[in-house]
Amino acid sequence: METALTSPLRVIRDAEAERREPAWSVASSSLPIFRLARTGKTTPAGTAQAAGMVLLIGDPEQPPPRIRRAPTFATAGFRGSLAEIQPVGGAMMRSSEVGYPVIDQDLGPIRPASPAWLDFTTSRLRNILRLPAGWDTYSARPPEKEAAERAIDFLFRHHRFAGATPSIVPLTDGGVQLEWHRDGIDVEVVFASEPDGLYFHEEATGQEWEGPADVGFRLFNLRERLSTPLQIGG
Amino acid sequence: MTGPTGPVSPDTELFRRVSPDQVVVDETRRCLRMSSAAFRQSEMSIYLQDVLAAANREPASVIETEAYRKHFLAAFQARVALDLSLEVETVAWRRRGARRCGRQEDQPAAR
Repeated sequence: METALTSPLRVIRDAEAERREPAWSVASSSLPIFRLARTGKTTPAGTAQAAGMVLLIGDPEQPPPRIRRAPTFATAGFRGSLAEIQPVGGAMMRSSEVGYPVIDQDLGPIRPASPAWLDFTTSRLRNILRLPAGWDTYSARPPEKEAAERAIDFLFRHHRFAGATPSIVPLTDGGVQLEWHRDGIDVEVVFASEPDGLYFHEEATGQEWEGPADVGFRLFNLRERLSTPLQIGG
Repeated sequence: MTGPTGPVSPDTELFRRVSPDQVVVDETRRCLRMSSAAFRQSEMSIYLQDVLAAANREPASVIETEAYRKHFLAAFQARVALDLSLEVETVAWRRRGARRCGRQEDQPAAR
């Protein structure tokens, strides 16, 4: 009987070595293999790490540690076409394939292995990119792939994995706009011919702000404020 | 529909079709809302209330054809645009019956 399947992630190693090591450690790409408890599949650790994921191995009964300076998918950036989105350095693995949440340095406790907003965002952007010239019944230009790619790159760089899914609308000049209207704030991020811009409005205070997108996202702590609590388990 | 060219009265109601692609969910206010993206351009064509009335047309008629069945209609007074330093005027050089709601040069972007 394979007892390793009772642990979420467990590297095949000898018992003596396991006792000498801390309860949790970061899987090294030099480790030949790690086991995915729920699926029972085995995958080279390096494959997952190349995809920007931080893999922890150890005792599930012990609280997992926080990791500093760990490479993350969110900071790894984006490359490729919308038809084939993948993080820099490797193929994407969905959380269902990993079978266990991944721990990230600055996101706190636990997060899934792919952004919650990714499926909708890529699907929506693909649909937007199919719009023809004049899609607004007036004289709109067709949406541009470059603007769509900047939008999703922005999300990968600034938005949490468990962040709220944005609404995405085309602009008449070929750009796209991300929007969130939730929890009393309105956020719009514009990817058009001009530099990426952000509009922020807070209902309670009436505060409004417009400026560079990356500055605004940090200034108003939108990484946190636009997050959705992660639910694990049934 | 043709009409005089020049400035439009602040009391005039303006109408513009909005694509369903530019309508988003507002979770705060629990409603659908037209995205600001629908109005984020240097100038745009609009329908004028008085011109439609002169043609015996209801505003909703501009979205009643099959091609526009899923579209929305935004309505606002010319005063709103004028207060934001936008120009609202009829122009002859556009296609027949078209009108313009344009942004003045060197003015801050209006929302």
